[in-house]
Amino acid sequence: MKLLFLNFFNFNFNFFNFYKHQWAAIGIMGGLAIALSSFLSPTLAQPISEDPSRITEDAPPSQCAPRNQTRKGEVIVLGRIPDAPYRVVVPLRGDGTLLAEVRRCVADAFETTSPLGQYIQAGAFPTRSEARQLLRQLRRLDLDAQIFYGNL
Amino acid sequence: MRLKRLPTLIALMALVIGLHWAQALAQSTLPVRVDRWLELQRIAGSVTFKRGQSNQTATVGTRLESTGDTLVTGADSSASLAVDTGIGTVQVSENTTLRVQRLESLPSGGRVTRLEILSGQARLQVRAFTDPDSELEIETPAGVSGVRGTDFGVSVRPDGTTGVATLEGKVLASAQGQSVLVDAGLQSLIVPGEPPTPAVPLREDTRLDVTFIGFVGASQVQIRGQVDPVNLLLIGDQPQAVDRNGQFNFQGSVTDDRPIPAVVITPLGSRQAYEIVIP
Repeated sequence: MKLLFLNFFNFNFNFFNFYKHQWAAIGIMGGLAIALSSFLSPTLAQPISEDPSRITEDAPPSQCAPRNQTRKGEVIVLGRIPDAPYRVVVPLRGDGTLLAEVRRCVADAFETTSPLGQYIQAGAFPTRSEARQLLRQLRRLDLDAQIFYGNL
Repeated sequence: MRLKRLPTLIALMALVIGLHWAQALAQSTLPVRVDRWLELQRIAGSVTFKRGQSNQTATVGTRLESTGDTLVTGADSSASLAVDTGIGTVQVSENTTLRVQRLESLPSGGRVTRLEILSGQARLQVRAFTDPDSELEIETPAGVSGVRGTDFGVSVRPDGTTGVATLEGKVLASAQGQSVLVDAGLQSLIVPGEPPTPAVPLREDTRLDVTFIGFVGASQVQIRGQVDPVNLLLIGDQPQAVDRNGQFNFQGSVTDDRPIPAVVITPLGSRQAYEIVIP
């Protein structure tokens, strides 16, 4: 322990001897401090003005990849995805904030209707195991997610 | 004797000064009608050329030469026009109406080109003007965008709301007596009856963010969501109303379960096609 302390002391001593001009040392320390503060606070380093009209307005970053669209050549298919019969859904409550909660996980979740009532489609998958993965993620967010096969 | 001739002398001097002044005025402002045109270089789909009361199918080589000459593109159609002096091209997207307002040559050598986009989307790629008197302006129901050599585009929605985006050069968007400089890499929105919004970074974002898809009646379908406010949204080939935040609410009747086609087009002409299938 003593040896370590001495080494540390010697290192500092040599460091300041190397930069004999004290202003150079102050400059380097200041630069390091600015770099550190920029790293800890990225908004200071990159002041980007936010446009209030952009699509992602009020939307927190989602944790999961898009689950409700697929590409068919140049065209993007939305809604009922072909060959994805396992659907993870969340029955709609009346408070109107549920879609935003589901979108914390799945950015392209949407509300829809069925003869059984209104619900949110969180994702559609070709296999049950993929659907169960999203089900677990949503339930960790205290959402009443369920899996259905085919049309509701 | 001298006094008797004085009124005549004054009249002669006034005449000479007046003629000189009129000549100078004519040289400085009066347009000269010479060989100005926009020529169709490429056509895809259905494109109509209108002059006066006559409508005809446009073909490659068709020229828009006079005030009022109009080009209309149909669904899934597009056209490319060359400006006479080789200063640039105009790319016209589907469901677009473009009309000539002014095509003039000035005695100084400057060229004045003023086009009107009534609806749809057009992109202009124009080289820098060498003549200080040359002008190129795009008028839409919401405002005017003037350029002096640039690569920019406009999108015009059914209510006249206009998106302006600049890739290179500078565009001055003007409406309601106020102007906003839309520099390279920026975009702005002009809502009818309001000045242009402050320019924001160019997004070229063709996303269609759907928040509701479903039936609201036996055969009535509703689709709600959001696009970038500067973009055009077509659902079932029809341009849709979109508010200043990009929100839309489409309702239409369907007779079968075929996918509903939708297209998002940016002011610069980037295009993404979608198929919306009701779950």
